[in-house]
Amino acid sequence: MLWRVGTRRLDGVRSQVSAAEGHVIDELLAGRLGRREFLRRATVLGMSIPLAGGILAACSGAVPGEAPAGAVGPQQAGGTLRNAVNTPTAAINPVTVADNGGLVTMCQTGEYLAYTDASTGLRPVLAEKWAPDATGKIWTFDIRQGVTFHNGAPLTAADVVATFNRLADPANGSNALSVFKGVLSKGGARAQGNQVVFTLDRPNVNFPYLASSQNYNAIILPASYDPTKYTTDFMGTGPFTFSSYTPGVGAAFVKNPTYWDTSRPPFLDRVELKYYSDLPPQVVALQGNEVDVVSGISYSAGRGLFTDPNFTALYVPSSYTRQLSMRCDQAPFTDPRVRQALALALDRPAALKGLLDDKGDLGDDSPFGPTQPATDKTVPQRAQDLAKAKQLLSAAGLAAGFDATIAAPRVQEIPDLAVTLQNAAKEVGVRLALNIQAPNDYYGNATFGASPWLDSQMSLVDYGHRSVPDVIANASLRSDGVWNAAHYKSPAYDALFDDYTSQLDVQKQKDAVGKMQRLLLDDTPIIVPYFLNWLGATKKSVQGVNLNPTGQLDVSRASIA
Amino acid sequence: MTAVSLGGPPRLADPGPPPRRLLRRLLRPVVLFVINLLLLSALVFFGAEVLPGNIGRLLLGRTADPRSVDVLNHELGTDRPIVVRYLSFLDGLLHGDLGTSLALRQPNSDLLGAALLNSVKLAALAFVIVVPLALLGGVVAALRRDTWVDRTIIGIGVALTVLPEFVTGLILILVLSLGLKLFPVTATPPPGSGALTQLYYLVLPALPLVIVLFGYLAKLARAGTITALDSDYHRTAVLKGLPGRVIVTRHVLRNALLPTVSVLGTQAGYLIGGLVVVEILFNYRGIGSLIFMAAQSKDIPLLEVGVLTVGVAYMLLSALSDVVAGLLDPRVRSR
Amino acid sequence: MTPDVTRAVRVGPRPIGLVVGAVILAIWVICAIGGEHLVQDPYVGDSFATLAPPSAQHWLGTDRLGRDVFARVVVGARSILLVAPAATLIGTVIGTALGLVAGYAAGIVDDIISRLIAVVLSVPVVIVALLALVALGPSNFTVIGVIGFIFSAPIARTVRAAVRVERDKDYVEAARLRREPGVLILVSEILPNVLGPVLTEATVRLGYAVFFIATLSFLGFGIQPPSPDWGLAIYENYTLIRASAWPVIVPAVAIASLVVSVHLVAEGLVRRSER
Repeated sequence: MLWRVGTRRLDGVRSQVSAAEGHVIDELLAGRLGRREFLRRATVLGMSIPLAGGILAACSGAVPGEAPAGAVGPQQAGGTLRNAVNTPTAAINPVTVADNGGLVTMCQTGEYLAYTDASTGLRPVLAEKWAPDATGKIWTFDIRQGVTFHNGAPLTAADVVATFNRLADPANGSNALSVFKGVLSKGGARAQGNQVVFTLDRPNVNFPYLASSQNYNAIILPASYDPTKYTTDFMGTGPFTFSSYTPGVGAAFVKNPTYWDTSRPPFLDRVELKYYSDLPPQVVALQGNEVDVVSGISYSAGRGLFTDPNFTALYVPSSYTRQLSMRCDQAPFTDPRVRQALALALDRPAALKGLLDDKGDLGDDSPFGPTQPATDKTVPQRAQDLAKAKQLLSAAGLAAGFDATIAAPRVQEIPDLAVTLQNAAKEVGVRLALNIQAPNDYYGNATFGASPWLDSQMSLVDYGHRSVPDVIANASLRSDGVWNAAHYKSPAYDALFDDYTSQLDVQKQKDAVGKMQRLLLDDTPIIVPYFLNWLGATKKSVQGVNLNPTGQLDVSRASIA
Repeated sequence: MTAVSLGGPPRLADPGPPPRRLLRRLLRPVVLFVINLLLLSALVFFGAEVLPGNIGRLLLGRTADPRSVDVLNHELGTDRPIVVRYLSFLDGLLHGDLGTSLALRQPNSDLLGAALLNSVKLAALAFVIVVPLALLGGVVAALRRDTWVDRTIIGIGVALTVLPEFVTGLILILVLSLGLKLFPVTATPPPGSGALTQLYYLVLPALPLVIVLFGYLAKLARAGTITALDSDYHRTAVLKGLPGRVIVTRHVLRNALLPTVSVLGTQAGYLIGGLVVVEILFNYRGIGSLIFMAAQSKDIPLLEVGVLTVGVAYMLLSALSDVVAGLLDPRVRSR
Repeated sequence: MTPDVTRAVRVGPRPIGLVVGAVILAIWVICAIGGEHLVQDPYVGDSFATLAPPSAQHWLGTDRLGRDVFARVVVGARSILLVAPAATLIGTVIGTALGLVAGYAAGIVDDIISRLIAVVLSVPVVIVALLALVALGPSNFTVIGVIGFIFSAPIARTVRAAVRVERDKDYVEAARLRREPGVLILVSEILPNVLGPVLTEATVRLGYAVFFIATLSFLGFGIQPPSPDWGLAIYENYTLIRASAWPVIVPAVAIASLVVSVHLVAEGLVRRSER
C-alpha cells in the first residue's frame, strides 16, 4: 500500500514513475512545491490521485480527501435539484459553446477526458491515465474501458480522436481553436488500440489541462456527432441522461442507472435547470424557493445570499480576474513611472473588501494568480503608497496630474472597480473619466482597430479562470499578443515567456514566471487588482454541489434533503 | 370623449360612400397596413445592421479565434450583403417561412409562437383583472362625483398610472413574494403545470400592468358614466321611473364601457411595452423578453419577426377596438 | 403611448395638486442644481461600511459600495432632470417641425411623414428605444436623442391635426394671397395658433420622459455608472434588497415622487390654460 510508505521509501516510488514525475517528487521533497501544487503537478503528468496522495501522505501523514465542497454530513439519495442557470445565448453545441448557460447544460450529460478540480488538480474521467514522451511533444492517453454512451454504444478511442480533431479543425467554427492554436492541429490526434496519441505542434507540458474540462469545449462526443441533433439527445457518458430541453426555458436530466463510475454514483434522481436572462433574478429565485442552487454569480448580485443564514455560500479560489491596461505607446503612459504611480495609488485590500467582501485574492499586476502552480509567491505584493506615487508623477513631470479615460464593459463589478480606480487616481491628482459600455460594444470585433477594449487609452477587461496561465500571459502581454490592450512591447518579457513554455522542469518554469512577475511590476503595463472567487449558493438542504471556476456545474455528487 | 388613438388606422370622415368609394374605403386601410409593415421591417432590418459587433464574434465570445468567427458567419449567412439578406427574409415571409434564429438555430416560428402565447396569457389576465376593477372604480367615482370617494379613487389611480412598472413590480415582489410569501417570484411555472398553477404564477406579474392601466381606464369609465348621467336619455329614464340599478346597468354602464373598450387598442400597445419590463423582471419567456434577448445578441431575423409581430398586433388591436366600439355604441351602429 | 390621461377627462387633482406637484418638483430641481454642494461625496464609498443602515452619518444608509444613499439620491436628481426635459424639448421641436410641414404641405410629403409616424407609433416606446440604444450605445446624449426622436412622432401627429384645421382658415388664405413664402406662413402665421396644443403635449410628454428614462436605466440601457441615477441605482442594488432595502426603496420613492409631481404640474397647467 503506497500510502503507508515512509519518506525514505519514496525512492522506491521513484523507480515506478517517469522522469518528469520523479522530478515533481524531488521538488516536493526539496520543499519547493506546496501540497496543492504537488498534487496539480503530479496529476497533470498523469500520476493517479491515490499515488500522488500516497506520496504526500508519506511526506506529511495526511491524505487529501476528495470531499466535494459543501458536503458536511451523510447524503441522502433521491430527489430533484433545481438549478438557476443563465439562458444559453447561442445554439447548444459543445463545439462552439462559449456561454456559461450552454456549458452548464451540456456538462450534465457530457464528460471530459479529465476534470480540473479546484483543489486537487486533474481527476481522470474518461481517460484512465496519460503520459508524455521525454520531450512533452507526444502525449498518450489511455481511454477508459467499459464506458458507454447513453444510447448504449461503447466509448472508443475513435470517439475521442473524432472529438479532438473536430475541435482543432478550423472549418467547424470551434471555440477551442484559440486554445489549441500552436498546440494541436487537425489530425494531431490518432487512435492506437485503446489509446489516443496526441502529437502536438510543439512541446507543451500543460497539454493535459488543455484536453481536460479546463478546455470546456472538449466534451467527449460520439464520432457520429451531428450538431443539429444534439439537443434531441444530449448524447454523452455522464451520470445524468437527457430528459427534456425547452429553448429559453430550461432543461431536465435524470439519473443514469448504468453510470460507469460505480465509485461515485449520482445521488439525485433528477436535475432541473431553469434559465434566467440575468443574474439578479436568479438570486431572487433562490430566495423565493424557485431553485435550490445558483452558481457562477457575481458577488454584487449574490451579496444578499452570503450573509443570509438560510443559504450555504460556496466559494472557489480561481484565476478569474480583471486587468486594467494602460497604452504603453501613448502619452502619458509611455513613461513606466506614470503607470507605476497609478498602480501604487490603489488600496487593493480596501478594493477587495469593498467590491468583493474579500471573496478573492489580491492581484500583483501580473496575470499569474495564486491558484496557478507556476506562480512565484515570493514576489513582493504591491501595496498602496501615495507618497511614492506622487513622487513618481513629479519625476515624470506630471506633478499637477493629468486627464485620462478608462473604458470598461458593463460586466459584474467592473463598473464599480472603474469607480474605485477613479477615486484612487484622484488621491494622486490624476483625473480619470469613465466610459462604461455594453459588453458587445466594448469588445467589438475583438481585433485591433475595431474594439474599444483593445484600442482605448486605458481599458478594463475580465479574463475567465485558467488552471495554467499560458493563454492569458501570451495573448495579453506578449508583443504579438492578440489581446495586448496595453500595447506592451517588451523583448525581455517575450523571451521569458518563451523560456517558460519550453521548460518541462518545474523549478525552471517557476523561475521564468518569477522573472516575468518582477518585470511586470517594474513595467506595470497592466494593473491586476485581484483574482475573484467563483461564487455560488445553495439552500441549506443541499450538499455536495461542486462549482468549477471554468464554468461547469458538477452536481454528480450533490444531494438534497 | 376624446381618446386619441395613436397608431390606429386613420378614420375616414367621408360619409355616404358610393360603391367605388366604398371599395377604396375598404382597401385603403389594408394597403396602408401593408406599407406600414414593409417600412417597419426595413427600418428594423437595416437599423439592426448598425448594431455593434458581428454575430459570429458575439456568439463565440471575445476570446474565440477569428477563423472560427468567419466560419460561423459564413454558416449563418451573415457574411452576405444586407440587401440580399433582407430580400431573402422577405421572400421567406411570402412563403410563410419566418426564418431561423441565428443565435439559437431554431425556427423563429417555434420561438415566437411560444413567446406570443405566454405574453397573451399574461396580458389577458391583466385585462381580466383590470377592466372590471376600473369600471367599478369609475362608476363609483362618477356616482359619488366630487366627493372624497371620487377624489381618492381617481387620485390614487393617476398616481399609480404614472409609476414605471419596474418600480411597482419590485415593490410587489418585495412585499407579496419575499415578504408575505403569497406568490412565487418568477412567472414561469414548473413544466407540465396545470392551468390553475399557471394562473397562480401569472397573478403577480400581471399586477404591475393592472396598476398602470387602472387609473387610466377608471378615469375613462368615470367620464363615460358622467356623460351618461347628464344625458337626455338618462333623464328620460329617471322620469320614466326606472329603478336606479337598472339605469346604471343598462345605460350608464354601456356608456362607461364604450370609451374603455375603444381605447383598449391603444392601451394594448402600452401593455406590450410594459410587458418587456415585466417579463424581464419576472423572468417570463414572452414576446417582450424575446425581443430584448434578440436585440442583445444581434439576432436580426428573430428581432425582425418579434418587432413585426408586435407591430401587427398593435395595428390589429387598434382596428379591432374601433370595430368593437362601433358595435357597442348604438349611435355608431345606426350609421 | 398615451398622453391622454390628462386630456381624456378633466377631473382629479384640484389646484392643490398643482401646488403639491410644484413643491415636490422644486425640491428636486434644487437637489439637481445644488447637487454635490448640498451633500457629502456621492461617488466615494467607505469599503468597510457597505449596505449600512441609516445613521447620523448616513441618513438613509449606504449602498453596496458604501456610498451615501442620501447624497446619491440628491445628486441623482440631476441626470433625469437634465435628460428628460432635453429629450422632451428635442421631441417637441422635431415633432412640431414635422407636423407643420406634413399638415401644411399635404400630398406626398404628408403621406411619407404620416407613414413614418405611424410606423414609429406601432411599436412600443420601450422596444424602439431599446433597439436604438443597443445600436447607438447608451449614454446621456443617445438617450436624449432616442427619446426625443420617438416622442417627436406623437407630437407631430397632434401638430399635423391642428395645422390641418388652421390651414383653411382665412388668415392663412390671406397670407397666401399676399404671396408670402410657405415657410414664413408656417412660422409666423400658423405656428402661433397651434402653440397651445404643442405646449400641452410637451408638458404631458415630460412626465412620460421621466417614466421611460427611468425604465431604460433600470434595463441597463440608459444613464451609465457611476452616475447616481435613480433607475440605475435600483438596477444595481435590487438583488441586495434583503440585506438592505434602503438603496432600492429610496430611489424608487424618488422616481415615484418625481413622476407624480411632473404629472400634477402638467395637469394643473393644462387645466389653467384651458380655463
